[in-house]
Amino acid sequence: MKNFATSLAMLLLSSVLLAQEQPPQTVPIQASDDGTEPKPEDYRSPPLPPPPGKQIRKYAEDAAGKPQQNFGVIPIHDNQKFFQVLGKRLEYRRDGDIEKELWEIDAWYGGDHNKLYLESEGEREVGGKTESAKLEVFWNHALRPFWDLQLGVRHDFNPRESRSFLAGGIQGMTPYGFETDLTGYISEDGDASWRLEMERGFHFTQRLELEPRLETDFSFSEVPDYNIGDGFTGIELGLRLRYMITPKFAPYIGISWEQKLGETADLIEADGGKTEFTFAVAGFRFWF
Amino acid sequence: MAQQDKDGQPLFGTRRRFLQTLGAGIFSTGINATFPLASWALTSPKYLHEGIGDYHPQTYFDLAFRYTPLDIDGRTGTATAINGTVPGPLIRWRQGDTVTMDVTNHLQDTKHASIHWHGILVPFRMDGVPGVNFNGIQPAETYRYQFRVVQAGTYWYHSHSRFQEQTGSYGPLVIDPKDGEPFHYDRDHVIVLSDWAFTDPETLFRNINLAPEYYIYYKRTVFNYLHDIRKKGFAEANAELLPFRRMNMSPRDLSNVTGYIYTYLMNGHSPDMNWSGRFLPGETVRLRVINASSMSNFDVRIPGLDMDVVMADGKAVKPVRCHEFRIGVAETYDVLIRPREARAYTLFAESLDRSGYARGTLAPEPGMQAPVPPLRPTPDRKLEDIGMGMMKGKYFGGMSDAMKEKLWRKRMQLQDDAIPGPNGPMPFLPDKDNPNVAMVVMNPQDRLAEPGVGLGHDGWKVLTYKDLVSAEPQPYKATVDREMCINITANMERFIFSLDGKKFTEQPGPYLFKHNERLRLFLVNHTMMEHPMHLHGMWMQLETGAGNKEIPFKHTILIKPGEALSVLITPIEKGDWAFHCHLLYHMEAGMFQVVRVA
Repeated sequence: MKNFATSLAMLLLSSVLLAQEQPPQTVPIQASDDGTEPKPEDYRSPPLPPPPGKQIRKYAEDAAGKPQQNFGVIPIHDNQKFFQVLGKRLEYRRDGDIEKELWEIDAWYGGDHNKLYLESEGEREVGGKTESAKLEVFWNHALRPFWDLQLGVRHDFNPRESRSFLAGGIQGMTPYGFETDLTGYISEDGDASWRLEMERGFHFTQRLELEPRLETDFSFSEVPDYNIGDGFTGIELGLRLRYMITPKFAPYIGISWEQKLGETADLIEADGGKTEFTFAVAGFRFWF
Repeated sequence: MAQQDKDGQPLFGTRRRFLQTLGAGIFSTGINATFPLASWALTSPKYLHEGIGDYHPQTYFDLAFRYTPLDIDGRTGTATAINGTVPGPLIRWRQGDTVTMDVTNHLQDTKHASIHWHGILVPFRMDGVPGVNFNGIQPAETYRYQFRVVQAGTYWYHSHSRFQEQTGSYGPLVIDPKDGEPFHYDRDHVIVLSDWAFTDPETLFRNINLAPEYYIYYKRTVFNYLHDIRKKGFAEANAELLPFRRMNMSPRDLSNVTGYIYTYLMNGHSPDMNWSGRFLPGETVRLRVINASSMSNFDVRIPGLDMDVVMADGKAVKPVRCHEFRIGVAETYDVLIRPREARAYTLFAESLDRSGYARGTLAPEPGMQAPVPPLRPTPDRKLEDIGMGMMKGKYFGGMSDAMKEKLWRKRMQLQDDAIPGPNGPMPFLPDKDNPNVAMVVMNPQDRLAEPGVGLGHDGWKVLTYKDLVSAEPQPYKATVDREMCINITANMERFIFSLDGKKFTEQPGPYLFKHNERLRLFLVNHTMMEHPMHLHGMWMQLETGAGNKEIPFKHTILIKPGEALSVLITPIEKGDWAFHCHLLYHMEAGMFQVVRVA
C-alpha cells in the first residue's frame, strides 16, 4: 500500500516536472531593435562561408555554369551529330514454291543522347504484290547506359487498308548482349499490341558470326479485318550465318521458321492462308 | 638574316640549320620526292642515323603547317605536316633560354591549327590549346610563341586542333640542361613512335562511334571459349567470362583503333622501312623514346639488351634496369643501353593489343638487321584487372544503390594502405540512369606495381610506375592542403567518354585549382581501358608510396582499368589549362576538362 502511494506520488510529481519542462506553446518571436530575431543564449552562429576566391570546391563557378569556352572557340566537339543507314536484313527467302523478299532497314540521325530514328520493314512475293510494309518514326532518347527510350508513330501501308499507330518502347542491349527491341502499339482504332525482337551474335572467327533471332507479336484485342486474333499472334525464329567482308557489308545464309499462333492462325486458315513457313534465307547486312 | 642562335652562327648559315628551320621536306625532294622525312629521322639501308648529337639548341624556330603527301609502304596519304615532314622537325632548346617559335597555318580549309608543347611549363597564353589558351591559328595566320625554358629533358610537341595529330602534326622536343646531363652517354637517338592511318580521321572517328568494334579483329570467338573450358574447366571459364558478358563488356576491350588500320611508325618509318640508327660497341647510347601516337600504347623492348630507364616524362629518375616498358600515349622515357657486341639489335615496340608493331634497328654498320620477334597473343583482361574481382562467378542479380554505398563505406574504412590520404578517393555513385557511364568500379585498387595487361609473364623485368623514383630536386612542399577526386568514366557502346560521368560540354564549369596550393588529386578509372591522362601547365607527382622527395614527376599518367591512384600537384601558373585523356578520339568524345588555376 505504501509502495503504491509512493509510486503514485512520484508519478504525479514527474508529470508536473515534465509539464514544467515543456516550453510554452505559443511565444511570439520578438523582433529586436535592429530587426533581427533574438537568439537563445547558447546559440552559436555557423562558420562563415569562405570569402570569394578562397573557397575550396571542385568547380569554378562561372555565371553561365557551362563548360569553359575561351576566346570564342570550343576546344572539344563532343556533341557531334552522326547519321547511319543500317540494313539489318535484306534477304531472299524460300519455302518450297513460295519465294519472298524481305527488308528491314533502320536509319537515324542525331547525337549521343537524342536521335531521330526510322525503322522500316516489309515483305513481298518475288515479282508479286507487297504483303506487308511498315514505317516507324521515333524519337530515341538515351535512358540507361544500354537502353534507349523510343517514342513515335508507326504506319502500315500493307496489307489491306493502311493504318497508323502510336508507338513507344525500349531499344538496347540486355545483359549478356542480347540486342532487343520491344515496342508497344496503339492503333488508330484503339487496338493494343506489342512486338519483341531479339538477336545475339556469336563469333566463330573474326568475320564469321552466327546470329539467332527471335521475333514475336502479341495483340490485346481481336482485329479480324487484319486477321489478328487475341493473344500471341506469331513467332519467328531465325538462325543466320554471316560473313563480314567489311564491317559495312556482310552477306549471310540461314533458316527462318515462322508460325502463326492461336486465333490468328485460325483466322488465316479460314482465309485460306498458310500459317507455318520454314524459309531458307540468303541476304546481306550493310550500313553506311 | 639578322637572327642568330647562341653559338653566334647565323641561323640559316649551315645546311643543317637550313634543314631544321625550313624542314627537310624541301631537301629530301632531292632524294625521294615522296619521302617527307625530317633529317633527324632519315635513314636508308645504306645510311645509318648517327644520332642527334650534332643538332644544337636554337632559340628561334619557324614552323608551318602544310598538306604534304606522305608515302608509307607504297601508299600515298595526305599529312598535315609541320615543315613538310612527318614527324616534324627536331626542336632543340637550352634550359634557361627564351625561345621564340613562329607557327603559320597554311591549311587553308581548317578552322585552326595549333601547337601544344607537351609537358613544358609555359605561361597560360603559350600552351597552345584552342578554346583554352588562345583561339587557334587561323589559316594564313602566324602565331608567335615566346617563353623562357625552365626545364630540361625529352618532350614532344603536337597540334591540339581536332584530328591534326593523327595526320602527322607532331615532332620531338629536346631540351639540353643548363648544368650538364645527370648521367653520361656517348650518343643519343630520338625514337618517335606513332600510328598512321590512310583513312581520313573524321571517317575513322565516325566508324568507331557507330561500331565500336569496327577495327577490332581480335574479338573473342566461340573457339576461345571452348579452349578456356578445356583448359580451366567449365565452371571456371564461365565464372571469368560471363560476368563480362553480363556487363556487356569484352575481356578484349584493349583499344579502339588497331593495327588493322594503323601502320605503326618509328621516326616516320614503317616496320618495312626499318629506321636504323648507329651505335659503336662499348658505347652508352641514350634513346629518347616518345610515344606520339593518337591511340596506341606501346610495349618497348630490345631483345638481347638491358635498358636503364633514366628519365620519365623528361624528368630524371634513379636508374631502373628493365627489359621492357609500357609507354602510354604522350609519355616519354629516356633509356640508356650499353651494347657491347658488334651486331644488330631490333628496337621493338609492340602495340598493347598485339595487333601490330613499330620496329627499328640499332647496328654498328649499315645493312645489318636482327630478327624481329613475333607478336605475342592478344591478352584477355581478368575481372580482377578491371577492379571487378567480386563479380567473379556472379551471373544474375544486381547490387542496390544502398549496397553499393555500404560497400564504399566499408572500403573507406578498410582503405588500401597503398592509396594515400586519410579517406582515399571519394565514392562515385552516379545516377544509374546516366547513359554516359557503363560501369562503376566499386573496389578500385592500387595497381602501381603491376606492369599492366599482357605484361609480366615473359620471364623478364617490366618497368612499373612503382619503380620510378625521382632523381630531381623537389621544389614543392610535402603538406597536402586539399584533396580532390576525378573519376574517369565511359560508355564505349555509345562511344561516350567522360570525367565524373559528364562529357566536356556537360560539365558545369572548369575544375578549380588554387594557385600554389598542394593538391592531392585522386584519379579513379571506372572504364575497361587504359587512359593516358595528361595535365597541362603543371607537374603531376605520382604518389608511389615513396617520400615527398622521391615521387616522380609526370605530365601524362597511364591509368589502368579499375585503378585508383593519386598525384600531388602544385599549380604554379595561373590561368586555364586542359586536362584530358590523350587518346585522341576519347578526348574528342568528351574526356576533356578545363582546369582553372586561380
